[in-house]
Amino acid sequence: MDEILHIENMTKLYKNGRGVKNITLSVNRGDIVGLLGPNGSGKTTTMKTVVGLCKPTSGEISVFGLDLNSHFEDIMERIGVLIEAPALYGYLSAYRNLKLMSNFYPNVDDRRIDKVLEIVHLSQYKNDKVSRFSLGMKQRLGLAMALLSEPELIILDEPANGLDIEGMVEIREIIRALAEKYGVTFLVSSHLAGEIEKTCTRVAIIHEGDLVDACTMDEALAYNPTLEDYFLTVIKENRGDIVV
Amino acid sequence: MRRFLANYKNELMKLMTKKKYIVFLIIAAAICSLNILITKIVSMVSKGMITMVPSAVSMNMLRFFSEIFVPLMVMMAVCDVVATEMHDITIRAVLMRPISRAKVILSKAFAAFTVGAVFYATVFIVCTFMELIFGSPSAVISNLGATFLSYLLNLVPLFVLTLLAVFINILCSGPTLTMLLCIAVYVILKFCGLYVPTIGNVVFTSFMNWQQLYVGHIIPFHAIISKVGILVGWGVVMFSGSYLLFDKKEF
Repeated sequence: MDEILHIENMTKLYKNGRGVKNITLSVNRGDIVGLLGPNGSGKTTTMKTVVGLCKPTSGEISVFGLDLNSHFEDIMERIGVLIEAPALYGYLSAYRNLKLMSNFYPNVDDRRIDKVLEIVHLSQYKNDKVSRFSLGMKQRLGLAMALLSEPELIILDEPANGLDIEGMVEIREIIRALAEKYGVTFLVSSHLAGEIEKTCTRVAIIHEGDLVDACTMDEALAYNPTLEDYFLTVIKENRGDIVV
Repeated sequence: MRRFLANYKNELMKLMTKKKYIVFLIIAAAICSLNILITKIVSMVSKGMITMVPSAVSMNMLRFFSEIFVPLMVMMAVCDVVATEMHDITIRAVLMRPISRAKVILSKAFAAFTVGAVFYATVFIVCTFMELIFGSPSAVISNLGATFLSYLLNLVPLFVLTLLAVFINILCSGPTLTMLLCIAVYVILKFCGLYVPTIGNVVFTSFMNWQQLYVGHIIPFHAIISKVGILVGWGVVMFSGSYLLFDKKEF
């Protein structure tokens, strides 16, 4: 399998002692990997470190076979990112926000901007100021920004945050369609087991800063009716509890 | 270079959408026009006893704008593109794009500096135009080269001031506090330059009007070279400090 992302023994500790410890994770081309864990478990920290928003305390990160530190610009040219609340300029329109970001990519033109706005169903609000958008609309625009450069790897941190049921289903369909049609690789985080189960082909469980398990969705559901049950089993085993 | 230019263009676009700069640009043009009109009226009322010296208004305006007005505009622009974006985390939008942090900082500094340069250009154009109308066109044209050079020379310390503002912006948190601190540091440096001669020789804010060195028949090369060295030194220290601090920041 073609390895797109490899995290080796990555540790990121904050001053308060929290963070993630010794994370080792591989993501192969075409995978939709779900990072599942409760709030504060280290999902966002892991993702921020992968995209250079945080510097790891120790460990190595390579993307497309390149070291993240020494090839940051080349790597980021091929990655789309949505971390936490999307970083948007409220005083600009949706189109202007996308236009600013398109300037970093030589192959992204106005047609591509219109296309991504169409994908996230924001075409009719193209010229509206982002400050007037609802949380869900901002999340959609954040997703549009991640899709803009037709990246090979897309990292989405809680993409369903602020979306209604319809919006969550749409995002799930977009992710699956891009992975199936174009072989786009996804690393998606969520604290909702149901969301990960319906979207992802592989799952990595993160708990209190440790990556406690990583397997395919089929393996996770082989002996458990739902991913939620599998998650609880893994967490209990990790704590040393007796699993009935 | 492509990525640097892309972000420079983006930062300029963001600054241009803020109406306050247009308002201040109009105020700057109005100050220049009024100054020349008042000088002309005084000259007429005093029946020529007080007259307007060709290009003197341009140079007087340059002194005023280079000491107070343009530095304030540049500090405000730096606060808009650095402190405000760091405060509301919109800086992430750029940091998650294919551009290194060094290029991000430099492109933001250049964009804020461009705002200052646009103000100088406006003042120069308005003053020259008004002097052509109300003064002696032949004298204005003969002094045009020297006046233009003076404006151009003032861009050098302005760029160093921009880098100082960037450094303070990265060091602090919150746009209001940062703006106040920028002004306070500038005032302190100006004060030191004026009243503490030993410090004044090495503080770059003392060179905000250094075009005066170039005026005259004998150009003091020694003084100019030492001042260029001091400006370069300040610039390198400020940029290096800004980059080191910014590179360590986590968003």
